[in-house]
Amino acid sequence: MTNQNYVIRTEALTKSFRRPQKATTLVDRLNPFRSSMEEMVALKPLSLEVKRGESLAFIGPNGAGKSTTIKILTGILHPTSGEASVLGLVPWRDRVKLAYRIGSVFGQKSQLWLHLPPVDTFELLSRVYELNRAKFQARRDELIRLFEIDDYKNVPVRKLSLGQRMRCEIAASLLHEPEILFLDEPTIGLDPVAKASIRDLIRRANQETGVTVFLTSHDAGDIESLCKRTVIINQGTSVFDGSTNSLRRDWLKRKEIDLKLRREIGSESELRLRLNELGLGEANGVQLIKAKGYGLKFAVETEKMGMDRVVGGLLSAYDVEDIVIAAAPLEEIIATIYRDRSGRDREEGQNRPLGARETERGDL
Amino acid sequence: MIASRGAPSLTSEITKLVAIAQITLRSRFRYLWDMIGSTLFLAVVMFVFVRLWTVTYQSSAGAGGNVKDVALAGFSLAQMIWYLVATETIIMSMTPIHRLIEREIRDGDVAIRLNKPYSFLGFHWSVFLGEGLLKACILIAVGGVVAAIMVGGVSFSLGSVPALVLTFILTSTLNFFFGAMIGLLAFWTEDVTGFYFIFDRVKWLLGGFLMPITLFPEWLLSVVEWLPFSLMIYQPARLAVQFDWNVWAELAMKQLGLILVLGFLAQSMYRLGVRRLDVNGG
Repeated sequence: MTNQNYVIRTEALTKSFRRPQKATTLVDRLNPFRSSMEEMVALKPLSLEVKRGESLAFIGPNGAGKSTTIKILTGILHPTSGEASVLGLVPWRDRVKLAYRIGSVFGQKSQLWLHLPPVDTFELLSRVYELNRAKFQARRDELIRLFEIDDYKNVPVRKLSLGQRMRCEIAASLLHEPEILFLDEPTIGLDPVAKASIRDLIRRANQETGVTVFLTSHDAGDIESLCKRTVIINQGTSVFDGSTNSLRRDWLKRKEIDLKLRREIGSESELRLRLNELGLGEANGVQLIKAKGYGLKFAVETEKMGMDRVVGGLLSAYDVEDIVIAAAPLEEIIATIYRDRSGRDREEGQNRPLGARETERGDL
Repeated sequence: MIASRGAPSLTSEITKLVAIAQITLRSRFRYLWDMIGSTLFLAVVMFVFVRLWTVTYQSSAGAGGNVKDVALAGFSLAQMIWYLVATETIIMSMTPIHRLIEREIRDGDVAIRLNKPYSFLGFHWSVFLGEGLLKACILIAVGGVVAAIMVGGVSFSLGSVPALVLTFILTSTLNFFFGAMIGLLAFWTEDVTGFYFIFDRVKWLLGGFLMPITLFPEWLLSVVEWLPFSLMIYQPARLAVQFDWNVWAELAMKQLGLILVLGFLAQSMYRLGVRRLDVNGG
């Protein structure tokens, strides 16, 4: 498994956890070493390749196996079976060697010392990573400037806002100039301004230093703004691996058309009759979402009817002042993929229409 | 990349451990007054001990006898009280390491430790020792003031301080490894509190926490001498009040030998356990 271009390679990587079954008898309850265990599959055979300098979003619903994969790739967990190579090393066997060459940020777990200022943790990390003093000081000052943490570098971490803390977390993980940066939900809990700022810093680190970014997040904004490639994992297995752009372009065959008319719309029954005459009914994949005053809104399943025919029909039938055609938001697309996969797993053979209006907005 | 890629050297490993101990000290120093406040309980404990042992020594001296002439198990009253200051310092300065390790394993915080180029046990040992040294200084000060006021001082040579500091480090390390091994059981079981509770109470009873083991009946003493607990409390505490270089050297050798065995066992447990780690979810 050696190839200079790939910094991460996995082959049929799996992980199962053994959990004690709930004790039902008194004897079981009193026995701390009771052997009745149940096996839970966290990761089904996963094969993955990541090139040097890539920015990869590794996403999936809760319990999909994202964090398990990151923890295997950073040497924290041992897999049940399969192979993995990170920078040519076997993570769980060469954990310490690998730690010198990777950085990681776990959004929900801090590596900073809570009661001390961030610079104290930086100092400790310089010893832990055995950094050359002069180079460390130059690197630390550079990161303090780049991450704009000069104003609070001497403030105890417990007094920092979540956004400020996360800036320091990422700076700390970049101190030793890692070749790969693993980010596990780095923007969790942040407000939109702090999120944008953190994304900008990660993007710059990727573009300016060439660090490979391996990101997991529930936030579609992180994925759109940071990652060119997306891998979607669900129930322990990969369900999509491609460019983030192609996710939006190819996966969801659904668009929305918003029309503003010059004349007021008549009654709804009259409107529906006219749409049926134009062949723009639900049977053909055109769903009327809203009709009020001068406005009309449709959802179009483009697999059933091309956008040219729908737009052409509407323009020929109505006096249109303005028209907006929009793809569904990325988060809706991803949610649809999650649901589609779960639905397929649950109800084999039964097709759920992609882009059904049941998807929810907000964090995935 | 500016980080070293070579094989870790002993010097670099020691540098890391010292840096971890230093940052622990700095972190705890921020709450020095809280720490001092929490040790004031020791003053109450020492007051009770002084009253109890004074009565015991008085009854041994008999009517008209002088308490200062009485020695129990080789300890004068003042030595006995200072011995108890030492045992309290050893026990109360220990961070509940079993609980920290158990929590890290159970809650998944172990991920923050395992993605750094240092030893998991080494990290915890440095934290344990850094915190322990600071607490010990405070405990000796508080307990010492009470003892000095109530029973006076004992003969003490400043030249023995470096040797006693080393003894404290070895004693702490012994206690650390037992606590860490119990904490590491969390890889296999849900809750280790019960194991630690039993171990701790046995250690207190047979280690000489509340009284020197030389006061035990002969048959019990012969058993206790074969157990490690006296190396963790009685022998270092006795050395603090009756310092002797030969005893110090013998104790240091015994403690070092046991540390090597326990270190090997703890590291083996860690290696076995970490394969079973099931940090599931973010």
